[in-house]
Amino acid sequence: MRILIVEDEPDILRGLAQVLREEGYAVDVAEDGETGLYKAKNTAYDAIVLDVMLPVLDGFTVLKKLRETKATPVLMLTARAESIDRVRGLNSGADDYLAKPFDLDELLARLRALIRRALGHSTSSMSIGDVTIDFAARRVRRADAEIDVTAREYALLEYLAQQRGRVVSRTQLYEHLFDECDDTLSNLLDVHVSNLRKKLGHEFITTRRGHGYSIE
Amino acid sequence: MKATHSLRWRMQIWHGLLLVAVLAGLGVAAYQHQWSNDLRRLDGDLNERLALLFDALSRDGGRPPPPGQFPQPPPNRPRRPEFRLPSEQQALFDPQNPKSSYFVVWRRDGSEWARSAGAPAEIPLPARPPQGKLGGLDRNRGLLHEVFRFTPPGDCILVGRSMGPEMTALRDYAAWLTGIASAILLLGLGGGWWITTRALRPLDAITNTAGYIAEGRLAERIHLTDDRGELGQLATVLNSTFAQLEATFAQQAQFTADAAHELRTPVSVVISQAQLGLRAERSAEEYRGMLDACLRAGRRMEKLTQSLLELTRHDAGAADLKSQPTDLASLARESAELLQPTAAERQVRLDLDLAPAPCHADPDRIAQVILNLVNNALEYTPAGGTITIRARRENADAILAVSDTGPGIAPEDAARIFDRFYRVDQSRNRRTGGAGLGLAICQTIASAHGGTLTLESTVGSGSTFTLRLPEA
Repeated sequence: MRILIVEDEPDILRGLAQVLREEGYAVDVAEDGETGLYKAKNTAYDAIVLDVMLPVLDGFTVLKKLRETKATPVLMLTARAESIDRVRGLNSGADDYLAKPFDLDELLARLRALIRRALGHSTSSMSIGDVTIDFAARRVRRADAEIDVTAREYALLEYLAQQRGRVVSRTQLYEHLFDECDDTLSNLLDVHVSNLRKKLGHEFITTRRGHGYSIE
Repeated sequence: MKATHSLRWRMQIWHGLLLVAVLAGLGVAAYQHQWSNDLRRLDGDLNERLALLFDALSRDGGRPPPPGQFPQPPPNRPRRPEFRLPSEQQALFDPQNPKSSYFVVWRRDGSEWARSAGAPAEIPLPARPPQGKLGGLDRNRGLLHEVFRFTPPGDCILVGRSMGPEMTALRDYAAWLTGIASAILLLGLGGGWWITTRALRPLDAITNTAGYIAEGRLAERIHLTDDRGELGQLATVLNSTFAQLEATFAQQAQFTADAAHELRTPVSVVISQAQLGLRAERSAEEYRGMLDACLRAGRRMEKLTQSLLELTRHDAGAADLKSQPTDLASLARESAELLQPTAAERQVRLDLDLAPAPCHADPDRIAQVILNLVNNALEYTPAGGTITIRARRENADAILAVSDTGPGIAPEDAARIFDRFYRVDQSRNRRTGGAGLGLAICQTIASAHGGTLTLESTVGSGSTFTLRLPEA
């Protein structure tokens, strides 16, 4: 899952980016509204965390312009907790709203729910064969045994599972699993897929040569 | 509210008492007047008859009165001429008439000479008055009123009549007066009640509204249909007071909200950094980074609280100022020296045009204002620009002006530039670290000194902030 954070307070931006990366998200950042809007329009993000008070373009304007072309889920962050601001944010197309100071765990939970809803799933877990993925706890079980996966592996598994039944291209995977800072070596993806197959069974992820991967 | 404490009741009682006194006074006067009129008429009546009798007596002799009506004097008396009354005049003393008069005539020696039929049995001979006065005498005996006169020879004529009919009429009159007065009193009380109720109705509205205000419903106002008159003026004054109260409260609430909002960002940093640090074991370097971020946030909060405290202190007024004779020119020179390195670094020229500008002020506070103004100018003046600090004396005021060649301030921003937490560029705060309180503090310091801080700005050519302090 790839996420864009638009926030002009450097310390908050750094902290958020770090915690999201630790959760296995691919994270891009922008420090002003204009850059944020450009990135949001040109990349297929799974969600955007958008601050309201931003230089150049404020959050509401960014959201309005983004909605002209894209329906990417947006979580608005603001230091103003007045309900008028909440209403304004939700009316201008925000999918959720969080007031500063926020709790990191709450932000993560809301972000997960946001992405899940955007993909059309309402439950927080999914069973595929004898494999169960708990999206809330970010855990994978196979026949009642906990499977240890790395953050990247989990992100790959989660993305494929969310797109279950569809073939996901390598480009798509690169776009959603790696951020602009990652050095995208072409065989890195293959390494993660191979590791997941070792842990969950070789047939779990099928390869469509020339097209990509899928979970049936 | 007890009736005795109610303004309406007290007004009503006093008004009622006054009305009763006036009516009673008028009634008594009217009664007296009527009574004296009656008496005068009675006197006139009786005196007329007395004159007739007197005439008859003076004519001496005449026909003897008819038997029974004018009894003969006792036979043992020496004969005197008979008292005769013309018959047409005898009707005047007809006892059948309820208002009939009677008469008695005494001879000089006190023996009764003649009397009318209706005369009461016992009528004492009036005492002879001191010499000279023979007529115009009267007396009251019970309900009887009598007038009498003495003839020059010494005989006495008395005409009397019962005042009964007059008394009855007077009683009726008194009853009529009482009735009229009672009606007027009732009308007056009713009218008074109506007037006081009408007059005091605005008071109810005022009381209600004041009650709402006390409950915290600050938007309530007194609505009077008629805002003229004393209570109307009171309502107008109260309404403007309420409006001011509401504005002050709103301002305070806005200030608190803004302050809380300003605090949220650094608090967010502290919380998110701490949570991040607690999520997993970190390297020493990572921990250091988080602590640095927390420290920066802490410093920002410290600066903000400092500014808030300063504002509150200066809001309290001049009490906290250590005022002394000060020269704005020398303060400006010191400030310029302090900021010269920064100006040089930014390639901005710092010009001084200083004439002595003595005033009575707290030098530390004023230096703070000047530093703040010059710092702001430095912030907005591009390289190659000039900042000019002028000091001079104008009339009795000390003037200090800081001009820059920056981009200027748009009128809509200029109008709010001294507002607390107002920033021309909403996003600049993260970089400059200011909370939008600097100019607000400068202005509170200026007003605490009894002075002013104003801005003149033209977009494109620069801004001038002018500090004006009274001489003493």
